[in-house]
Amino acid sequence: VNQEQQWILSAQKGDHAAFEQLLLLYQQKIYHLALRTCGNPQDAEEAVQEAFLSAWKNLSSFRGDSSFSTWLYRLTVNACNDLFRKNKAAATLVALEDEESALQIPDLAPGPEEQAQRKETQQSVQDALQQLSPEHRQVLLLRELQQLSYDEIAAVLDMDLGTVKSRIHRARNQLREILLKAGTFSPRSASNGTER
Amino acid sequence: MNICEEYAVLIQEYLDDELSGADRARVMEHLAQCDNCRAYFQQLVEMQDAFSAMDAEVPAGLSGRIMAQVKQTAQIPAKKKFRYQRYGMLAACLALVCIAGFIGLGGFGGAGADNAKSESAGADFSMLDSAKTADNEEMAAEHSTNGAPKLDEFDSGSGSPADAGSEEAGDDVAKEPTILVNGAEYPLSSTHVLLMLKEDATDEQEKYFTSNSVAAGDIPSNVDNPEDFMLYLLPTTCYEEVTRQLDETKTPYFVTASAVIDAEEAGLLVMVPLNS
Repeated sequence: VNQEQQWILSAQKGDHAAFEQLLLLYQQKIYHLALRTCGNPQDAEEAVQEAFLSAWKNLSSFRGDSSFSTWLYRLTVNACNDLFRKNKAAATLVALEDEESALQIPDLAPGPEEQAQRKETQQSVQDALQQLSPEHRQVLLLRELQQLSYDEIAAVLDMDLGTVKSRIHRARNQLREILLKAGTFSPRSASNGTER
Repeated sequence: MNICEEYAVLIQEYLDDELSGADRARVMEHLAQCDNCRAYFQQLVEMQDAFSAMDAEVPAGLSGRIMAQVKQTAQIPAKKKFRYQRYGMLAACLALVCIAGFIGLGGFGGAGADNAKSESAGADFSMLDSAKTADNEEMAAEHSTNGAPKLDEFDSGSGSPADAGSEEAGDDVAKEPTILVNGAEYPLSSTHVLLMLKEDATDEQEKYFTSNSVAAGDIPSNVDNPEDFMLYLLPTTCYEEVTRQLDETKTPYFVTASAVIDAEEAGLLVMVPLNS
């Protein structure tokens, strides 16, 4: 029994401290997923709270059929979906300026010019993400942000592998189209054979 | 830009690290030769880079806020125990006698250790998540019955010691769900489970009930204090009357349960006014 399993077992018996350990272990990943899914920090926080609260309440139903993280991702996706439905009427595409400060520059610090370019690309991708349908955004984030395999995503979303695969590919192509139109790509990749 | 059809999917799978060695080599070879596919590939790589560079700082104090909520929230026991209580008005109006006893159904969304103590010989109600993970074996195992409580004991909550129930075999699960009422057998499809909020229910309990999670076929299993809820099994023939008699501010929820319910064996004492 590893540390995480120990925490899960204790938390299932109502141990708050053990649950807090799990919370601290996963909150970053979960928050990031929620942030990119929801598109703004307020909703993200609400979704994260909902996901963890739901995890706490339903812990007895977690039996280790999937990994704990997969289970948490599922709760997070559900929480984001619920929120999305709730906000649907007011669903505007919210820019992500609010958490500009949270952006990080990649470790291998390139020259200032390339750095600026990368940051711009990153911002464009974030913006473009919000133009995707929730379904497409979701699969792409699980893939790119959480680095889940197709199989794992299928488990999280309770979908068959074929659907996951085609949805990711379509999402990525849509994202690319949006970025192409916005002229986001660096000359290195944009120059070669693109129409624009 | 025209991407070679044959490689459009492969390139994505290559990026997602979902390709076997041979296919990887094929993709790499193609990328070396095809300008369009290479440009496509590079754009996707740039997108991936953008994702991997993304980060988010967890808002300060988030875990504390979550833990504060957690500490005020009860966990849902693996198995639900519902104690059936007398509901005066309804009983009077309909000449219903409270339902007491035990209904064994499967666990809601699965269940681990049975951590809800069967204090008092109150009724026991765990529910079957029929839509998803109906775990028949578990259901059968859980179907063992505690003895029939006497009605007065049940209401006083004095807790008559439960008789050891007999363990049922798994194949019993397959039989047509029925409810036995005073010797008469009714198919469950004609029976509705009515769940109502107690008048002094807390806001949170009410909130749960009014949330979307209570839908047909979905018995609320995450109520914090199941004892605070009542459950009546009523035949469909009379539920309209029940609704009419109810306090209008309380919303009744009708749930079509799907389960093996043997009222007699389970010690259910049910008197239902049948319109027929």
